Amino acid sequence: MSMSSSKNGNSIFNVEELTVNYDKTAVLWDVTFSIPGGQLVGLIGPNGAGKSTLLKASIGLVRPLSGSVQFFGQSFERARSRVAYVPQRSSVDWDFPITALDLVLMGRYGSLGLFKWVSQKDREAAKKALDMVEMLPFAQRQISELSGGQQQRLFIARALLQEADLYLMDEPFAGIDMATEKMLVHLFRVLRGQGKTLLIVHHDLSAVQEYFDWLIMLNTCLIACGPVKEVYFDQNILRTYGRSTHLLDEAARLAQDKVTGLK
Amino acid sequence: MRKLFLSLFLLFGCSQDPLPLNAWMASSGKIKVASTTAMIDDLVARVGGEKIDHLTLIHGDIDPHSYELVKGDAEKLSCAQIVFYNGLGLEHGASLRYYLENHPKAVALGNVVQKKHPEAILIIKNQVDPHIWLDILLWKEVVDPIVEELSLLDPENRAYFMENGERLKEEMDKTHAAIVAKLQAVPQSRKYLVTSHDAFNYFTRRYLGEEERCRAPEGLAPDGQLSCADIQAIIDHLHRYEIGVVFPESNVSRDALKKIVSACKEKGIVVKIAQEPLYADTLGQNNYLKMMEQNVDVLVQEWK
Amino acid sequence: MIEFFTDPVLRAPTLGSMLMCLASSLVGVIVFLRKRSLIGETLSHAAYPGVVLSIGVASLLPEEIFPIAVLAGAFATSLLGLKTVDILERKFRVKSDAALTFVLSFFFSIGILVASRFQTTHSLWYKQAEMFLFGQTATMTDIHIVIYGILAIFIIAFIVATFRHLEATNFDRSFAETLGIRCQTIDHASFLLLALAIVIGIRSCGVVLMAGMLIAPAASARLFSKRLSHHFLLAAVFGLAAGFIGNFLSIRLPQGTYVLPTGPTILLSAALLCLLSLLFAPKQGLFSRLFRRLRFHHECQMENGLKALWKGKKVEFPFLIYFHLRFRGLLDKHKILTSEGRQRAEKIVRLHRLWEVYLVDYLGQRAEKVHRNAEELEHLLTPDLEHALTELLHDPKLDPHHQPIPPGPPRTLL
Repeated sequence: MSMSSSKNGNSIFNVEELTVNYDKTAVLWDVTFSIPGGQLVGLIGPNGAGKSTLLKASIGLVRPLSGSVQFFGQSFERARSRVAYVPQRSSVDWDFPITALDLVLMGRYGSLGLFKWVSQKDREAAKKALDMVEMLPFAQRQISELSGGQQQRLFIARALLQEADLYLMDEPFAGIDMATEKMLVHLFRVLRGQGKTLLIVHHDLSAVQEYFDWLIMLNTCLIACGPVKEVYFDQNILRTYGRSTHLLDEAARLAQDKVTGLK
Repeated sequence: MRKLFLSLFLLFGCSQDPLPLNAWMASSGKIKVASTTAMIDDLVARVGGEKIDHLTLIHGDIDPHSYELVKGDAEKLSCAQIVFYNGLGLEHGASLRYYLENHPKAVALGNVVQKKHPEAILIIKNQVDPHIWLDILLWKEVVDPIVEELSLLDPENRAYFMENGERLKEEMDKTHAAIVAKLQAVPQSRKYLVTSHDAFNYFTRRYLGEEERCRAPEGLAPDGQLSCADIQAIIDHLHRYEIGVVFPESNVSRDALKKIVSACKEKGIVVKIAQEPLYADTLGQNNYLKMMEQNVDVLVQEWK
Repeated sequence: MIEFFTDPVLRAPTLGSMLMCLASSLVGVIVFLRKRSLIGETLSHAAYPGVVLSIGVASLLPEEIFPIAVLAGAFATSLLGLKTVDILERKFRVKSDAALTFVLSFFFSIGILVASRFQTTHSLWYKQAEMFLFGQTATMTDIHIVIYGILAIFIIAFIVATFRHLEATNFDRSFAETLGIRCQTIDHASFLLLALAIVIGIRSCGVVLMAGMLIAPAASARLFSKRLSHHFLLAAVFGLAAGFIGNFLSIRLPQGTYVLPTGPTILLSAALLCLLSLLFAPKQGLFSRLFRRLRFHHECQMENGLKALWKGKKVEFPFLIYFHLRFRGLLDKHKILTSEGRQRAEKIVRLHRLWEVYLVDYLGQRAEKVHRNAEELEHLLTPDLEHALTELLHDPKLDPHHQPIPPGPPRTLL
């Protein structure tokens, strides 16, 4: 496991020995790295490498077997308001009765208590966010009528509304049209210019060098983490995409059986 | 507390079955006679006396209209040499009805009466009213068929059966006369009978005058299928004839009557529910004649 | 009609049913959107043993407590059923539909067993338990209005209070969790509400039919609403309507010997509303779509007719097409194109030939193959697309078959 991490005091996202199991398979194994602020970070690896799981385990959606994650030096609960999560588009029911504007407004729901409703100010901010992703004309449209690219833009707009410092995005470029992709890349660069950090799970190897400053290469174990120019070379790529972890999976399965008493 | 224990005992203990299956099936040299209702069984017991073994299928508070065969019933019935049932559509639980209609040894006493006196049988809204036992003189008509059938099975005891039959008929006449006398004392304007279900047509025709004097929210069978229109009709009826009391029945839910009383209260009509229930489809703890007398006592008490 | 709300005989069944329908249709929206519609069926059947047992217990208590005792018993076993489903799914890895079916049958059988035991020991309890199988509204009294009213208000208050949390949890659960919304608590509360709504409803609709009352209004309302708040409101309206119509019909319709029990009539009213929505909802209704398709077909025929005339062919117009073209001023009484008609025809021809140029010159299709496709698309291309094509193809003057392309409308070059 080669690691090229810069441990400046500026590291905003710290992962220590994170291990996660799903059923009987190891998904993440002893992953350790840290990310400095103000970067466009790509997280790449083959299918099943644990990329989504890494995000989910960091923000408490999945319980890790061991390890810890820190945001800005704090736990996720404390740093919640500074982190925005954009889940995979397929994880959502797009038949739900909700308009584009309503979806974006969800970014403000974290601060609402019981009996509370969104304010006019929130609505204005949501419209501005829609405008930034060029979706304002669609504000009253039902989300089921939108294309994949348009839906993704709404997700991003919602994240913008959260006004976070760190954005965690799960495969935002999957299944969208070229125009949307170009627009999003431009938007991300603007955000980086404002000092924000974006950690993006990328689904393939296209345009890695073009889009990202920093790269995490993952295949159940951490292969590499560091500036793109330093870590993105043939040997690492081969180790990320070429190596299968099936022996590791088998061992984990055996261990799990013993734990549950099933065998 | 005692009620609680009693209920639990009844629930989880035995049912109120007076004659366990084993005793019934043991051979005793006497003919075995089964009846569906206690009203029939009472007469059968009087006619047969000690020369027969008899059994009631539908005992206690159970509703004969909707009774379905349970475990053990088929054995009980097949053990009997003859099965008497009311007919006229009383036993319309599908399993029981099918069994009786296809049973070679089953005799529908009500249908026998209907054949002899077709004009005596009432038809309410295209359905035959089966409650003939609530008119003593009409119910007397089933005694002879019972005597006949028992005599066919046990010809040696024919004289015995016939003598019992005659005595029974005399008692029934006596009770009938007593009832008529008691009801004479009640002014005609009070004699309006409102009960839980429409069981008292024959009773009303014989003892109260015109059939219109009896009404009920539920129809010929108390199956709970009543609507607001039925309740409204009863309220109108109560209002029209200035009726002050309604009579619940021993084994039918009182919800309909309670609803009627509370709705009447709001409309300014004063109605109350009688303290004691009437026995329509069951005998309660009494025998048949005592049951008829008790019913009339309750009526007279409330109508005073 | 007002007497349904005032008359002492009618108002308890009417208001009680309407309150029940209101509660169940609101909760039904949540169940419907979570795609767990079967759970209503399971919970209502699981409530039955509770009903039966509490009837027995309640007979030992003062009479006024009876309706509350039965509700409490039904609620208890309903929740027990829910917990059982949960344990089966999580601890025993049973699939959802199997767990739901198992709990439904198991609990319901227990209820039937106990009730049939009652048949021989306490005939009266048996009859009262039967009342809850298919519902009986006629004997409801004012106390029921009060109880159901309080429970319905409680349900409404909950939904209003947690509306945003409900929306987030049910739409995008993982996102909601990151915001700090307690999704599990919302889930638990939703299921409690579901059990409550079911328990309220089984007196009117009965255990067997209750699930329909949860889903039918929610399904109908979905076809008319774009937003969750509208969905809730419309479902409530449909539910209230079904409750009222069901009562109305079951009381007004029967003439003579037969009785229309209110429970099934309410269900049928709800189902009828659902059917009407499926057919006539403005956007997705079957008839609405059929209408739009026919209209488009009609427009195509009109345009084809104009095109043919423009090309100089002889055309036989069906009466409807002729009438419509005259009405629009595209045709005069001698069946000759007016100037508007000519403009329209030229536009269609232009689009047809532009598209052919696009397919052949830009995409490399063979000239013989493109005619069919262009025949369809000439009716569909929008002015924006026309403009984009003109630009892309540099305003061609001839199509692949060397026919002239009519000029487009004068446009200021952007």
